Amino acid sequence: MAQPVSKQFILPNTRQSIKSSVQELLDFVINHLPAHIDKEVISFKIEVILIELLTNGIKHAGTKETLLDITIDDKSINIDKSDFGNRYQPGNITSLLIHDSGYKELLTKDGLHSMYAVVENDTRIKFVCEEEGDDDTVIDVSNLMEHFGLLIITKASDNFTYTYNIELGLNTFSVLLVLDGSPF
Amino acid sequence: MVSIYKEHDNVLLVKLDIKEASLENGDAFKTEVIKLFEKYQKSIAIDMSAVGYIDSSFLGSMVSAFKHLIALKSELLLIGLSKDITNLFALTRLDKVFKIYNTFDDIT
Repeated sequence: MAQPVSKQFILPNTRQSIKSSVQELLDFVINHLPAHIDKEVISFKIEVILIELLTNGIKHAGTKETLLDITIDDKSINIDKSDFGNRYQPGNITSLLIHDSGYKELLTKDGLHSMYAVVENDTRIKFVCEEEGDDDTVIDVSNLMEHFGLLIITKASDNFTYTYNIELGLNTFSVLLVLDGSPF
Repeated sequence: MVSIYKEHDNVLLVKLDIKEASLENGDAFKTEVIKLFEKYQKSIAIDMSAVGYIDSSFLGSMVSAFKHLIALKSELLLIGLSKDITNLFALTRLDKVFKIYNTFDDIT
């Protein structure tokens, strides 16, 4: 088994820099992928995850820079996006951390998906997405949600969590992709 | 950003002339589409073959414009999606609500 490869990137937290930052990160991942992995499938997933993680940071963190740590081994890719900015507050997510582990709260729901936040411990929340209806279900278009960032990351990854370290004031979004070569 | 390419009986074909459809231009896109609808009162088919990638913010603006037109008994149709954008619509299941075509001729 090859040794894991890790690298930390310090990236500007600006709209203008997203494209070049994503390309730099994507190049790093592709260059360190195990040989047996289908690069085309994983590239799509990694690219949309990186775009949404960085966009989320610009919208919510309010910091000049964001830290991004990537670790790749034979079986998985881990991406941690961290900042010391504002607590991530949409849906009052951080207020859910007072609940016991396993507590599950509906964040959004429309005819296509339900998005949940599940408390894992007193600092970490896991995002879970469930598809609604089937191919024959008539979708109520007027009810469609218009925010897709969390949904895209959750569905493109195998595990997606948010951790808030209250002592450090550190927000961390962590994404895991299992390298089993399966399509989404 | 959005330019008229062809006017048909009941649908207006427009081209989206941006490579990166993102947080930066989503609101402007929605405004332009709604203005076109108000002027022509037709469904709008958007040729997206020039677009390299779409982020969640732009996707939200597309859905918002779509909902606006549907409420007024018209549609927002999509043409010429790249493979990655097709994958994004499949991932978000928006391919179940938007009508997606390869070419304008497929619509008319």
